[in-house]
Amino acid sequence: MFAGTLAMLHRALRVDARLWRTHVFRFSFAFLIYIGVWLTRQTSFSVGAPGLRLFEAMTWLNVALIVLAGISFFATAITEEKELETLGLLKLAGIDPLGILLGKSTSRLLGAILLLLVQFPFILLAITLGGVTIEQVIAAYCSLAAFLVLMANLGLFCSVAFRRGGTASIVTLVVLIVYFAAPYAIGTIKLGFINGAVIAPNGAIAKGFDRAALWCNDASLVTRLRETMRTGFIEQPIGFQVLVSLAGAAAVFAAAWLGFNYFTSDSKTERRPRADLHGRFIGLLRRRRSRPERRALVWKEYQFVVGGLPMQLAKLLIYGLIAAATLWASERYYNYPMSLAAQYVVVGMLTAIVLESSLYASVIFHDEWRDHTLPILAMLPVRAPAIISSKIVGCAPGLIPALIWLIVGCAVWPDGLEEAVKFVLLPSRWFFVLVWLLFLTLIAFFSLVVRWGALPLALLVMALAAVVTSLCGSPIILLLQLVNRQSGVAEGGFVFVDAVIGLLIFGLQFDLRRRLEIASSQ
Amino acid sequence: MSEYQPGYPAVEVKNLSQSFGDRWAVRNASFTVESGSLHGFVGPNGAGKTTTLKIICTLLEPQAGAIRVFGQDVVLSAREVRRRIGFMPDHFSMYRRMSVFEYLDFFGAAYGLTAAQRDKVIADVLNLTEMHARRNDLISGLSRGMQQRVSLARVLVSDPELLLLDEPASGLDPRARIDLMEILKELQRMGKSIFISSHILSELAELCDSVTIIDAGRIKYSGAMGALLVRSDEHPTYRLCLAAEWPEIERRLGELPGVVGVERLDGKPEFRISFDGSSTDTNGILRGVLDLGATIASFAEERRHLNEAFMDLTQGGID
Repeated sequence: MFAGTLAMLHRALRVDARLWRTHVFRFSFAFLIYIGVWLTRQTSFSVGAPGLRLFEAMTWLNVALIVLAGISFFATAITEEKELETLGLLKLAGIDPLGILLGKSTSRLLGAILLLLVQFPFILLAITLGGVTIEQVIAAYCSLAAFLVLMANLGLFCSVAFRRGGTASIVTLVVLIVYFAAPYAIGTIKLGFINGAVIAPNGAIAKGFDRAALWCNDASLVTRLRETMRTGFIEQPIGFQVLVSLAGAAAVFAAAWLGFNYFTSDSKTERRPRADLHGRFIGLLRRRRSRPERRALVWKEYQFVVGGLPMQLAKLLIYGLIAAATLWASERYYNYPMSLAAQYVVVGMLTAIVLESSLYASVIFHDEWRDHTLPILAMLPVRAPAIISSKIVGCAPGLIPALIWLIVGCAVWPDGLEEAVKFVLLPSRWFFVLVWLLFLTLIAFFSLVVRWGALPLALLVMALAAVVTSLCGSPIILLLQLVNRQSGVAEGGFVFVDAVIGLLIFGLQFDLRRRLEIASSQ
Repeated sequence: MSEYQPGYPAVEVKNLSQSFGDRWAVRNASFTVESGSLHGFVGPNGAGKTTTLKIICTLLEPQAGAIRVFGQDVVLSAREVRRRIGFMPDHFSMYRRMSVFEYLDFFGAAYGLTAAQRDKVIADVLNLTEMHARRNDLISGLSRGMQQRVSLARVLVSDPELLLLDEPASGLDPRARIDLMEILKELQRMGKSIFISSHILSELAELCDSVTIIDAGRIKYSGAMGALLVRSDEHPTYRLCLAAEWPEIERRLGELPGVVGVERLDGKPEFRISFDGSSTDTNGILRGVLDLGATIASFAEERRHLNEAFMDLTQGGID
């Protein structure tokens, strides 16, 4: 078993060492640490406890990176073998499930732990700068390490359980959201049940909710890190969160091991068409998809990425049900005014639009690459910019269902129309739209550069850009402060910021064409 | 922009060079594919075949040299060239969630055909590739051989004059391979020019009119298949097979006019007869053998196998 595991580990380390992105990522990380240290030094004369500030910044940066690693790096450990159809070869080589799991995950875990270890000397610098003790540093890094192990194993389990890397990443993300939101969600559900007279305020069920919320809160990394950063922290470095994280990691690893043969059997891993509403429901009615017309590429994206009219109708129905349930539950269980409930609907639909558009941006080129269809697409008598614009036009209708309920939400919300008009008129609101478009363009761009993980990579770049611009006290932050004070002046400043982001998008869009041509010829 | 003029060769490559970093993929390559011919493109792995094909089909811009397809420059007139060629890559390029009909319909529409035109052309190509019965099947459910047929059908939907096929028989079982070769012959009879890169030399030898052999980015041979297979640098050689042994036949054959060598093959009544290059009197041989009273089972010019020619011209073999 160990010969195979070591061989896989050796191969993974060699491959990682040869990839330019590994070094770019490490360099970016080191760059951020240096910026943090430099900024701490600059502000040490005017701000109290500069060491604590550096420590806080580094800790939350680590949390963000571990989350990103979990949904990208770890969640694709086994799925990449499935997608390349090489998992069977590993099995044929006599490597047992435990060997494959260890071989595929250990190198990634080692790489991530290495990143935690290399920053330790810099964090010790925080102690010298003042405001933080060695006990706090050790406790925080124990929590981060335990969380990293949990994320690595959760990602590994999802990559065993699901056939596609994208699905594994999304499920990992959903579990993570549940992990972080559980204490608040349980409290909110309890409140709703009490307001709706479903449960007694001091009854056993309510107390059970309280205990569950408390347990989730204590097990949460966020709670533990906040405690750790508190002045006068003197607890043991191995807290409840560390133990729960390690136990959880062991449990999901065991599940991945025990379920490995089931989830990776031929019938589970063979390439099948994705769940297709058209095929399942409309096919039953013996109706056919519409035929492509003059804009065939638009038709293809609409039918096979968006899912066509049946998927549109299904989404319209599902989003409608969610919106109606939100309005009804807010009124029935929480006694919220309709205006507040409508705001929830608006925020929910905006989230749906961002998530859906990100998903479309991540698959439009990735699927072409996976199916080896980029060369035949590029061979069509159509220019590359027309191919890109056709893909965008084909996917855009996929956002219509969420958009419809967004408009409904705005109509119910008394200030909704005014807010919507602001998005058209005010450059400070264009900023958000442009950042969103920049994010989508980055995803599409990266999907032509890297084989897997374009979405997490785009997230990482956006996060790094946000950290760098905020750390350097960028004009964006100053303008945002101005917007609160004298909006008239700030709006003029935002035109400049918007123009810069617009230029960035334009440049990336232009380079997309070149990237498409390169990817087609490879 | 160059204008198309009739009478041009299907493909004309002149002094093509392409490098990736410090490694030359193709160096100063020149060859011609005549219109209406079935031209083989042979070389070991990494010889530069796929790079050359990608340049011809406009996916890659050449760093040096001129490449023309039916007289049109592949760089200056890329869109026009694309309309006239059909490219089948060496891997399956399929939208697996589409049915066979949807796949072909999509490409037909992308090439600007009307629905009525597409109906007709799809029916024709499905008949040609014998895939009509599977027109409503999902591509993901088809076997490798059938997917290759659909891929070929896709290439034909736009009715290209030149087909560029990169390893079309790779991974197919013998029957699917034979079927594919039959389809290619039929396409040639229909007037298509076909440029086919393949590793399966025996089939190429039967199929192609002409061939280009490339090794380490350099063209080793380009011309008629027949000329490559004839042992031109030696004495013309024929193989004579008799129905039964005949006394002193080997000595008597050697005494016939123009014969410079007789070699018995494997102890059977079968002989390799070499002629003096200036006088190859095959009729005289046949007459002489019959006069001896022997019965001839077969008599044919001996040609090299493409494998032999390939091994002679290239440094390595096929991987």
